[in-house]
Amino acid sequence: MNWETVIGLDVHIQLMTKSKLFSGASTALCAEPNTQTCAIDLGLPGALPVLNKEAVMMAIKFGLAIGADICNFSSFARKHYFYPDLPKGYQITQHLFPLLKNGHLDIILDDGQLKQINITHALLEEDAGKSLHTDFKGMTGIDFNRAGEPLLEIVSAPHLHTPTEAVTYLKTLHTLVRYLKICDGNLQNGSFRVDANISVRPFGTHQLNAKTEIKNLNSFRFVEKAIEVEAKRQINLLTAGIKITQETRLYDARKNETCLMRIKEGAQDYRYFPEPDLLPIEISEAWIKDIKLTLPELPQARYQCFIESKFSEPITDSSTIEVLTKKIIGDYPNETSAYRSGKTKLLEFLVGKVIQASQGNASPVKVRRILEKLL
Amino acid sequence: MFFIRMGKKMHYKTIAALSKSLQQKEISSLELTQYFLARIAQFNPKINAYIAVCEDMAINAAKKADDTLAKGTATPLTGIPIAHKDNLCTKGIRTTCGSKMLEHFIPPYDATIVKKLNDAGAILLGKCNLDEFAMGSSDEKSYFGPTKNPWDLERVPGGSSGGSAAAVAANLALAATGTDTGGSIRQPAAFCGVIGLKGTYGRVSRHGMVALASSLDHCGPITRTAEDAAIILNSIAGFDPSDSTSIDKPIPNYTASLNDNIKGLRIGLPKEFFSDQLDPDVANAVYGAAKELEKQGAILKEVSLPCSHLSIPAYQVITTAEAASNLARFDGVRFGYRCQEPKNLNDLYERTRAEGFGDEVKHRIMVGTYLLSAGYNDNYYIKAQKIRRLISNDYLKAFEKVDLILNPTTTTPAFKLGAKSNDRVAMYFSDSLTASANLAGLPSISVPCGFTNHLPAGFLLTGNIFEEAKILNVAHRYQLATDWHLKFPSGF
Repeated sequence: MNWETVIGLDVHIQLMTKSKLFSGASTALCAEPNTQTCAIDLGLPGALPVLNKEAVMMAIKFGLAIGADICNFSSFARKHYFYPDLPKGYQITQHLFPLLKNGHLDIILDDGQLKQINITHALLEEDAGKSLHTDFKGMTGIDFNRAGEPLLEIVSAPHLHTPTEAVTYLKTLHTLVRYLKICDGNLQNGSFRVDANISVRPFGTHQLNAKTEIKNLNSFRFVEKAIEVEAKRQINLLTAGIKITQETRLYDARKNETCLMRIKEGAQDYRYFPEPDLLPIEISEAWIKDIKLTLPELPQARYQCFIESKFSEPITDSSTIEVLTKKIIGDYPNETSAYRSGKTKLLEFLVGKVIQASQGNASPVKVRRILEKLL
Repeated sequence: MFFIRMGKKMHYKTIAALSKSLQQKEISSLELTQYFLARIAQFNPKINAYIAVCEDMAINAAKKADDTLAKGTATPLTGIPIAHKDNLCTKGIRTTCGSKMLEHFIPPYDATIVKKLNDAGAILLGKCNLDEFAMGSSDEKSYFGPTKNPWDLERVPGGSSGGSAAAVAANLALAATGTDTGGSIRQPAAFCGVIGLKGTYGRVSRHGMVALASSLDHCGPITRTAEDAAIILNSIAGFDPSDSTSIDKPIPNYTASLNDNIKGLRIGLPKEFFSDQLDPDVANAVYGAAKELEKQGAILKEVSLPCSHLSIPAYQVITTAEAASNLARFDGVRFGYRCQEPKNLNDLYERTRAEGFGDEVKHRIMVGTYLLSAGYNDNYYIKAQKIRRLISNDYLKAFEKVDLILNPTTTTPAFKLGAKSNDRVAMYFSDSLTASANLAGLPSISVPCGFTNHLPAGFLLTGNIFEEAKILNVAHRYQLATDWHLKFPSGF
């Protein structure tokens, strides 16, 4: 039986605003715990949230870049659960009326093909604090510096089918948010967090089967591996006639396997209801137009420029070179497969073609390194 | 112990009168403040209106106020001693919400209403008792013991702002702030024979008011006269960037229009609020008030608010749901009560909340959680919000025919302590005549209009949105022609 993996990715990006989503406390990277909080972030009695306009502006920028519908009316909701790093006992998020809907991200596969991945929606929500379980002699330390930081949750449709595709999507998204200067993309620091939803189905079928969620994947390499092993695990279970339970799992890098975090049982009851302390966000077409004018040239547009040989400055960043390299791989399939079957001298040929396509602006060292990696 | 000059009886005077005396240097704020502090020391034990008295701070503030008065830069509230309900955050001063959960909580900031009154020069005498977390209609649910009605010590003062209303009625403060989610300013005002004002939703900032039900909460003044309430409203109303639901609209001068003629004003009496549930003496007092306004030229009409029988069910659903949510933050982690030696996280949560909250609070949290839970949310919370829209529409429709709505504030006078302890639903229906104004966000004021035996009765005036000036005007005109507000409980 041939199986197909179905992957949907939830990415939470921390927006690079100066202050938090609902308060004026600073978002600067800081070592000293609990020094960047205020009454609002700590959920003190009587404190009320006030929306940060810069966060909305950054979200709209992202929406424009992915061709999404920027909803003229969207609103916040309370999502309830008890955990010490969630000060109010609820998170302010968006539920029924997210800010952005129906966007897409074009990704370039290894063979140079373009694939469009739908982004079903993106929404604004506040981050929780951090729980530190070591260093406190059997107790847990809670640092609320992160509580209230603005997050944009970006949810893709389950259109990805291989670990490589998933990583390509993530890298493309990663480049985009940094280009837009809305996120610094630091996976280790947690400003770009990936949760993967994975299920499998017989190749050729179209239904969506029970999925598991793998959380807290903080490197692209781990994403790739986690998807690989989880898909295998599910296939093994289904082949043995065992049903897949909808659960949340974590990836253990040392063992290279996923393990259970908690059982989802459909969905935890978060008792959502509209946030009564905040007005709905009403966005005017005029404001959207103003923000559009501030958009930088997007990676996709730059790619087009290479194709049309319009680009003339030195290219130094890897992601742009990768885009160009993939195009060349797509243009020269014979040379590519010959190299792969042992004709290593063809590498220089391909390097040359990439440099030619960049009009001499790409660094040969970088091109060679990227080509070797992709091949 | 301070020597009290018996001849002066300063506690009978209004803010308006005493403000003049202060500005004309007939008395000093220090004198006035010491006078009230002495009265509190003497009489508060009888009624337990105050949870905390801030003697030193009050005296320091009074001295500062006297400096301001000397400079000639005073406001109508400079040097005037007031109290705050103990669910309004006061920086550096314990704010307990009448609960063990916050028994030792000291907020690091002032509520906006507190800050505005401080800035206006008012003197904070202390914090007033309330039903725990403002959940109640009798002040019997406070962790710090019940407050007693100064008119009859065996009866409740109403709630949840019972301490504030009792303090003003017993002349232990010239005014007190309260909060009103379903009637908690106006119902105790009626039971205690004083004025209680709730403005349009968003007129007065909620920043620093410990939230009960966010979409229904209001804060406002309890005073003896409508004029005093107008003076306070001038100070506390206005847009606050810290409260996203506060209204950005210019504030009229509420005292400027107090004496306006009310000839031709159309006043609607909703038939649903004059049912046979109404105590006949209360009904008479309220009809008497209506007649007095008619004498002054107002036109009385009957109106109908057909959905009003749904107001308490809708109100209870929305309040308990929002309250359960707002009280989720009380978990013993960052502030407030924490149980001794929690064994693990669940134990921390379970025992902190079981021990820190009183029974009524726990009851409402459980109900509210149930009402928001999956499978019930649509049937209860969403439906209650839809009913809320219908109730609001009833008022809007009525305001096409009349300018103001008049009805009794309560169906009965103050009931005896313990009378409704075993009948929760009966307790909830104490708000049956006041909660609609919260659901619809309309400004509403309770005005004393007579007595049933020895117990005060009050009538309610509700206006369309932003019509605070109009209801204050009518209340003031009524008080010019009557003297209910000049009656005081004996023994104080």
